[in-house]
Amino acid sequence: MDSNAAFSNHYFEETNYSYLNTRVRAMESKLYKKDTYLKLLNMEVSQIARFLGEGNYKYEIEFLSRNYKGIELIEHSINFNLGNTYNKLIKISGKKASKYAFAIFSRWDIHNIISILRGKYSNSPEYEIEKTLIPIGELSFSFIQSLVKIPTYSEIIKKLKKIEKYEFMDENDEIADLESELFKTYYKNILEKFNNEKKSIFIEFVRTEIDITNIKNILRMRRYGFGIEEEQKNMIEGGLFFSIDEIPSLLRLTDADFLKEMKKTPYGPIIEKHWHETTLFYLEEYLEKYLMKCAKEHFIGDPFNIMPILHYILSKKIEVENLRKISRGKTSNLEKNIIEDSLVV
Amino acid sequence: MPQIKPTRSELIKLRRKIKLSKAGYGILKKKRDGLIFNLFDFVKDAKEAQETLEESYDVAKKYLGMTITFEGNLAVSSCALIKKGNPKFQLDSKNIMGVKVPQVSNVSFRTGISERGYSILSTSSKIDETVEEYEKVLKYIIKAAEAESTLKKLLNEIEITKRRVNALESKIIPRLESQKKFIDFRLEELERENKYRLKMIKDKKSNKVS
Repeated sequence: MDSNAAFSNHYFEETNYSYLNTRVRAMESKLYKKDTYLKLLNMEVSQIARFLGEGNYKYEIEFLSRNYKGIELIEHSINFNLGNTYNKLIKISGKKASKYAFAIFSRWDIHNIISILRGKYSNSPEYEIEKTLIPIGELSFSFIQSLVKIPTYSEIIKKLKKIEKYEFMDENDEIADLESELFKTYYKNILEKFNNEKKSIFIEFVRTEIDITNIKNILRMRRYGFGIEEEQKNMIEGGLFFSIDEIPSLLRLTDADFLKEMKKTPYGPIIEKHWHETTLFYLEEYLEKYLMKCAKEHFIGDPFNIMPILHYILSKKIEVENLRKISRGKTSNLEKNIIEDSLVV
Repeated sequence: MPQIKPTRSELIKLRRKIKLSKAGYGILKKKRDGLIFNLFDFVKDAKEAQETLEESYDVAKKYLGMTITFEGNLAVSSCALIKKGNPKFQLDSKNIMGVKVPQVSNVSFRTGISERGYSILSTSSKIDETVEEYEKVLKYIIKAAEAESTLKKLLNEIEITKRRVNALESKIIPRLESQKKFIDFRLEELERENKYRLKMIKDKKSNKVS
């Protein structure tokens, strides 16, 4: 395996929680609050870019303003800032805290790998693939960029297979199956890695995320109708409120019975509220919002453990998503109340 | 007046040409009227197709805007990379009063969620619904292109027919008729000359006898 491929292979000192939490608290104090979002909601896209350029996103806005403008500048800057912030966090986190951080960040590895595989599968030019990558993850960005340079889909998989985490990948698999496997293995790895912390809030968060992903997929599969084999490929094990064995029966329940089952879980009110809508847009959005709110509320605790760091990681992600929703929503002429409702504050 | 032999055979030829031109003029006039009559139906179809396309594109744009807002441009661009193949449809042609216009059939770009190449675990329903809306747009683009192309071909044919009718009406038929008139006049003149000559001969003969 390429020893430089993953940051987690690097040497980390022991985590000094009191130092780390002080730094993280200082970083968290800089995050935008509700009143800032409400102010941004009344601004034009150019004004938002200027506001960000004068505040926490000054470096990124100035750095990228040569190549992008308008909404593209904002979105690239906030993503770049997210990457810079997370990388800074990794540098100061130490061994134990980085284990949690990497567990969350490897989600972006999957995004990058999937984008590269999709691009290579359809013979897209390298610059188009690079535009979809984000410099966050357990894998170093230089490694991710080196994957883009590899000419074929199967060679990329061969290279990835040398990394323990991605050994399961098979170049003969369909790309959609590989994507599903990547996500399933991502959750499986987290649950295995933190197996001894069954009662931890972090694991509860991951299991809630699994539940929400499963519910979203159940709703899609119920709507579009999938074969049994396809259904099984798209189920994730380890949910908090229902196991993988319960999913096939949930797929075959009548609408009324399905709602009855959902009402037994905390997701019931959200599903019930949006059940009769023709689109799953809002239902999915509010389930995501519920997950983020849960995380923000629960990742609070002892300043000498990982919770404040996890809280910051999620809060920063939420901030970036909120800024994107406001600026993109403005560009797409979405109603102000839709944007405001979608914000996690 | 062009060089024309004022002969009887030329007159017969001209008469035939005039008859043919007048018959052609009548047919072309009917064709022009028929094409204009058909055009109104196709204008209606093309307008409907254009309106449906615009409406559908507005909806698709709204869906894309919402998807990019909630999912981010990176996620949407990443999904867009997995474009599988080119849309296929059947292109034939049909005949409208001698004009060959395109006829598109089997227009269905709707793909099942599992045919799109992405996994449902890595995407959201927002992507599905946006793809569905854009598939509809693609279908309406083809329909609008078919209607617009038909319209263009019909308009082109009407223009050509109109020019032919006008040419026959105001140039060819009047020219042929003036030629016919000229030959008629010349032949009559020749006949008069002949008559006069014969009369002169007759008078000379009668003078000699007397």
